[in-house]
Amino acid sequence: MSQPLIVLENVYKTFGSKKILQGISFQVEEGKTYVIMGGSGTGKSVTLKTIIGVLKPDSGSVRVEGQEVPALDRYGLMRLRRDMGYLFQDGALINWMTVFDNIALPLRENSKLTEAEIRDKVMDVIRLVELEHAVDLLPDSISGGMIKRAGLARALINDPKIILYDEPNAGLDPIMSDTINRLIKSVQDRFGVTSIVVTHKRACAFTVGDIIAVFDQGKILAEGTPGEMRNSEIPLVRRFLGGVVD
Amino acid sequence: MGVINDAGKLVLGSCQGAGYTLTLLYRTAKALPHLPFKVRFTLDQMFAAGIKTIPVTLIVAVFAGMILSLQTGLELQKYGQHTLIGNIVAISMCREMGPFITALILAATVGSAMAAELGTMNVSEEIMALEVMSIDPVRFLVLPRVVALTLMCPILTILTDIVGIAGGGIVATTQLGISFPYYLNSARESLTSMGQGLPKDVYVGIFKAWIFGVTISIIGCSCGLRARGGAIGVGNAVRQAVKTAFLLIIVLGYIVTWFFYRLLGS
Repeated sequence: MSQPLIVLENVYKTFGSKKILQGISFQVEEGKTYVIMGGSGTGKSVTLKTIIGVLKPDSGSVRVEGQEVPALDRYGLMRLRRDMGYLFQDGALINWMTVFDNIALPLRENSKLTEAEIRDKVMDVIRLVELEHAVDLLPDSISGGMIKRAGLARALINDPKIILYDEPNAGLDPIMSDTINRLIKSVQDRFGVTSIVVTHKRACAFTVGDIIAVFDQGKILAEGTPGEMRNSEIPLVRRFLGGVVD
Repeated sequence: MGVINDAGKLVLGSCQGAGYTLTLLYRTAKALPHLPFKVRFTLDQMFAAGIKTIPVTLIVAVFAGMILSLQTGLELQKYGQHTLIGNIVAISMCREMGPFITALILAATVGSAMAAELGTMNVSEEIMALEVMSIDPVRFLVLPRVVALTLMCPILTILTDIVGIAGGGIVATTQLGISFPYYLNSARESLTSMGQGLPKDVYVGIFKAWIFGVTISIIGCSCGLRARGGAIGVGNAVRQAVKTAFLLIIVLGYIVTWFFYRLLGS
């Protein structure tokens, strides 16, 4: 059994009077993919932001690569995040930079690679996500699916050990959604990254997930392998994961 | 109780905003050693902040000089002192009006644009994306903007001074019956009468412009980075940036004038 790379223990988070996370505990082993499902406002994205250190939990422990994330200072967080990639729900590409420049940005800012080396590396990931035709386009002139793929390419450019996906299929048609699922799966298989995927899509959960968890009201309602979850008797889990895969 | 509550929130919000802005200024100053790696972005910002605002700045400057010359000249003419118009326009433009006009134009155009750009990036999670990529938004976004405006504000102010004085000269020649060479000579003499290398009226004005450049840019960036809640949040950030910059330009303008002409003596 491999080591857990991400460990959350009894994590609580509130915004004002609204309780978002109420004692979340789970761990993700190295090279595995943990899928989080659940209704809107159940704390899925907050969990991801807590793991990457954008939000601090009110209490509880969040450890990534053995480091207690809430205790890290700005520079500690910057060092940790170099091992992590994050795919935002809307891509969050810098709107005044081309797709190429967006993907090259982390290398230009954080590495000592030459421009030629950066170009080679960027083109490698661009080929992986099949965006060769869009390298010189600005984010506002490409489709939602292309933005997701560009965001994924940017998340991959630093060869991260961990990738966090926030709704990678949101707003996509079924065909593009399937393309993204296969892309996530191929990234896992090729690079052996540890991933957490927040999604509403059953197809995504079953395609990429090693472990699937269903969140409800800031707590983990159920957790298990895709097979276990598919046969779950819990009504809410059945509503999310039961029946025909969409 | 509601009014007291609202007032308390307003005061608390203002203090938090001031604290955030001062911290941002400190972090920007600390990031200065990284400026050589941000030359391209800084030049882009200098073009956006400086070159693109030259036309409007010059038009406002020439008319401000003309108005000043006409209004003051007509009053002085009653006492036969209108030949002093060159001195008055030159000193007014260099000490106060040049830096003040330039700063107001830059606050309304460039400062607001900075707040809108960074605010939009913030509400669309682009700033967060930079953070999760281990890219410091202060180094990447704020530093080039602050440096660009800090350099361009004094340069534009010098242009405003020159064009404003020239505008005053046009009115002096055409409306007040003073020859242009005489006007220019009296303007030059008034600025160099202290016998110093760089006239005090000029360098104090440039110093003010430098302060205004830092103020406008850091306020614009600070308001943008604190924007929350979509398009309305961005709109609020822009309004806040312009309002705060205008207030600080007036207040800091007075403090600099008091320091140089009252505390250090004229």
